[in-house]
Amino acid sequence: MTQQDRRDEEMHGRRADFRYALHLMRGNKLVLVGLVISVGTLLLTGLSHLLVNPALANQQPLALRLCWNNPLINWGISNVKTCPTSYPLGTDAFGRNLLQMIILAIPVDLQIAFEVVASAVVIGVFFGGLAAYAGGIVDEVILRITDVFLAIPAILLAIVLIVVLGRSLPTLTLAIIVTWWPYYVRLMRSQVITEKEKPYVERLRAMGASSPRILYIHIVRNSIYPILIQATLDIGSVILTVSALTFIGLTPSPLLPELGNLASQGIANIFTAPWLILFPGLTILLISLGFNLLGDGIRDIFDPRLRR
Amino acid sequence: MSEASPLLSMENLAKWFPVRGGFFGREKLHVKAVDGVTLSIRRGETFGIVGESGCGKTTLGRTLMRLTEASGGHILFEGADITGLRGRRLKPFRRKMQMVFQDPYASLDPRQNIRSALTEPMMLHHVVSSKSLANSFAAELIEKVGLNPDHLSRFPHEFSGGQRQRVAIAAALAVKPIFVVLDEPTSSLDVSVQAQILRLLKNLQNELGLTYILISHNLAVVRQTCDRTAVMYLGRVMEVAETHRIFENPKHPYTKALLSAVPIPDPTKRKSLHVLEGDVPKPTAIPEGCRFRTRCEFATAKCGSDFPPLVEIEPRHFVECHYDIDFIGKERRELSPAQFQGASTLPPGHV
Amino acid sequence: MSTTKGEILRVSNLRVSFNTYAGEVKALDGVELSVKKGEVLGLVGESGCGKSVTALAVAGLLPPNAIVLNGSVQLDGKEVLGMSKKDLQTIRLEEVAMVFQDPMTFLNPVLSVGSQITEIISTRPELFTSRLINHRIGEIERGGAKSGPMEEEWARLQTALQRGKLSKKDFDRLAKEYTISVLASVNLPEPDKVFRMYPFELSGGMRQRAMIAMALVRRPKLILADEITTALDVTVQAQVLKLLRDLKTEIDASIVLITHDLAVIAELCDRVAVMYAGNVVELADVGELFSNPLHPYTKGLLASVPRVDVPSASPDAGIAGSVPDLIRPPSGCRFHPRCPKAFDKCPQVKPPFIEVAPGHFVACLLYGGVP
Repeated sequence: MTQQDRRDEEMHGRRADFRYALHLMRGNKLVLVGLVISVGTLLLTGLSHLLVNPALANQQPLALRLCWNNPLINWGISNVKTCPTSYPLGTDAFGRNLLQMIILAIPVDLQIAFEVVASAVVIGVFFGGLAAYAGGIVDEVILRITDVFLAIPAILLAIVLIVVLGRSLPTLTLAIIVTWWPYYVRLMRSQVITEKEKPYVERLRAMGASSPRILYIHIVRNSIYPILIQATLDIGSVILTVSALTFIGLTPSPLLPELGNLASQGIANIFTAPWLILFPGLTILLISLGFNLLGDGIRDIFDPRLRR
Repeated sequence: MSEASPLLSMENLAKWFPVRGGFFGREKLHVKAVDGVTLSIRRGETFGIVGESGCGKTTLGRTLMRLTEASGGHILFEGADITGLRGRRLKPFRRKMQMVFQDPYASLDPRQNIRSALTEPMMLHHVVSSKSLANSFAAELIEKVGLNPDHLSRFPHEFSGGQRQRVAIAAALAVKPIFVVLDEPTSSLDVSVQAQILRLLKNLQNELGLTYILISHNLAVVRQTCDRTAVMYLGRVMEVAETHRIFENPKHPYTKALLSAVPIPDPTKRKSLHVLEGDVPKPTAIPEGCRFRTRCEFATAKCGSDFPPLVEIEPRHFVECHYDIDFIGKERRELSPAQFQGASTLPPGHV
Repeated sequence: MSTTKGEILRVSNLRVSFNTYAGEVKALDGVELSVKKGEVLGLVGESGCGKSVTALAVAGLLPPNAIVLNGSVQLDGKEVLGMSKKDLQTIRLEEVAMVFQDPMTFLNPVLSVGSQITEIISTRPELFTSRLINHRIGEIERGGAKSGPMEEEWARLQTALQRGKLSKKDFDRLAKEYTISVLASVNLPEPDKVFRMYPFELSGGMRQRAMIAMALVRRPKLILADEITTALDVTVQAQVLKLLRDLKTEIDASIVLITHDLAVIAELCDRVAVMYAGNVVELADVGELFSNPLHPYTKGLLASVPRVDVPSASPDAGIAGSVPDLIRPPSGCRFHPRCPKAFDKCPQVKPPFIEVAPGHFVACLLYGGVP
């Protein structure tokens, strides 16, 4: 086999997929933007404790509260309090450096987002796959339970759960997971329903493979991509949800560095300290947008490839 | 030929699919895909099942392989009734009977490499005692089907259709079966590749002592590969005999029609192409009496009122028909009841 | 090279590539083809040989990522490649009709069969007016009703014929009647019922015949039939083959019958072109091709086709290897890696397409072309 032939063979293998993906990404500028933002956010998360001392979140130098000292931006408001030293993004209602708080908040939000999304994926894959593959009464039961949860307004359900279970980060995460899983069950179920009709599944059955094996090893492997794409897209949505919940006060502690929490302080002081709602809000926007674009881009890359 | 007990036999096997019909959805119609098939397959033979689309041959194959539950009748494998077996009780039989599917592009898990596709069944059925033995057996198998052991780390999409079919054959052989159902194994392949695969299957059969059922709509392929052939129409077997008898001296009008419709790759043998008129009746509304009578040029009133008997019209040549037909002279002759094989082959539910 | 007298189609040195993400697929590598008026040419080959691409090029239906590198497609003296979109539409309406393999995908599922055909007629009323009128007049005259109840209509049609115009009401009525008669000519039972039916209500064979009717309505000079019997059962295929054989004598269109099935070719065709990996490798009269194949690929193919009248396969059945990758095709003769007769010059020189015996063309260095 010549060198040329070997290269040809490689082209058709996994590497071709990756090269194709890169090729498409190059053409789609927005995906690159999304990729940059997402990667940047993740980097920041990893480095946050190196950049900022977490203990700073618990301090309350109230004398410095709601002040601004950044010559680059002039708010045009008359009674803006000036800080003694230069704070790039001003201070919050407790006098803490807003920029530092935002850097501490990003990992908090991202961690919740990843936990929610990962749990939803696991639950969705397990139950959605089970419903689709088993069919019959198992399918009916799972579908009806899913329907019930889908019918209840998500935010309401989350609020009730947090009120009942108490305010803490774990309960916040759990409350969102409870409202998030039904869609994933539905999604996985529709994927598996299509996939299980394919000839290779029949061949595996004829081979004598057990149903759990066929479902959770073979079928899942082939139908997981749309789920993963949805998960990427949802990271932004979860962050928005967390922020919404803490915004309305369901936070474990007002001092918790969390983007929604920071923004909620801003509402009360919107006319005197607009930076307090603006910068946390922009951060939420940017992170959501970044993951959204990334997820969109990945989906676009996979779709035409499936049509190949 | 000694009358050794058959490897596989089916008695009045049926598979009906319910269809919601009628105005209120209450009137239950059934698609009678397989409607009472009785056959026995001898050890070591290649048994062909031919028919057009909708005749039930693929459903028959799937029912035999227990990929779907039979609605009626029995399947006996080496004498044991496997019709109702499930799960663990069925597993030992799964090892002995394997299937090769029609579409090589879809019958392999796209995300599983070839080595895994071959070793998975081995490990599942404990064909070998260790992973390393599995790997070496896989290498042996892949060479046996004409591919290179280098190919084991590759994925299905890196192969052509013919190569994928070879992999599928190797995967079927991984459990060391004695019986293989080949469902249109070469229909999706180019003619030049088809011949390679058919030759491979023949060689493997000789080497490993396999018994095959070959399901195909391609009469020429069946002629050249099968020892005995059964012709199916609308869920039942119309005629079954040794292949050369079926093709040289067909006795059922449907078989005759099929054979006259097949074109021959020889311009000096152009046919008058006697065309079989009409369409196949819906499998939810199978005609009373003989199901072929709506398209049969020899049909009589009796064909509509009486279910045709199974007749051994010559030694080991069975036909389901009221008459012995002379196709050249266009004459039909009533058959004597002495030749009938009895009513055990009436379709399920038939009064 | 232009069509000579008596030729309806001449394809010369046609090279077409497709731009895909994996590279340039060199689908057609200098295809040479000709179709005489009134003949049935079989275009046979296995997957990837380029037979469908050739047909698409002739009909001007190549997809956007296709590049025509060079060559010419002369249809009755007109060059098809490079034609404007509007001219191509006219060509497809009047001169070339293509019938595809899967009627279910190519027929509009939400329109009745009849309306899809009358739609064709209504696109260019000026084209069909005289044909419709003449057809109806012919019908009336055959019915012996020239004098009597139809007389008024007959006279009115005559005036319309002279003026070259029909009222919309008459046009629609005549279009419908003409369509029904075309549906009858393709042996569809109860054509007036079929007119109103939807594609899903028809069986596979009937749908295929409806597609043929759609092609015939235009009275094209050339019909391209792409694998029209491949998806059909044997008995249904026989119906369609019989229809085509009857049509051969009735209409004066030429047919290019594209298929991988050599038996179908043997049944219907006058001449045969064998294609492999983007080239026509052999072209001859059908009897000559089957009795005296020259190209090793043709020989291998003929040996591999299972025959229902022969009890066992030929020992030569099968051609080793598989169809080449057209992104990096073999050099010289594209068949050389699989050819039992290949020699040292084969990878170096692309064999020219030469006439070895009267009317029998081969592209193989065994028969000439070695520099």
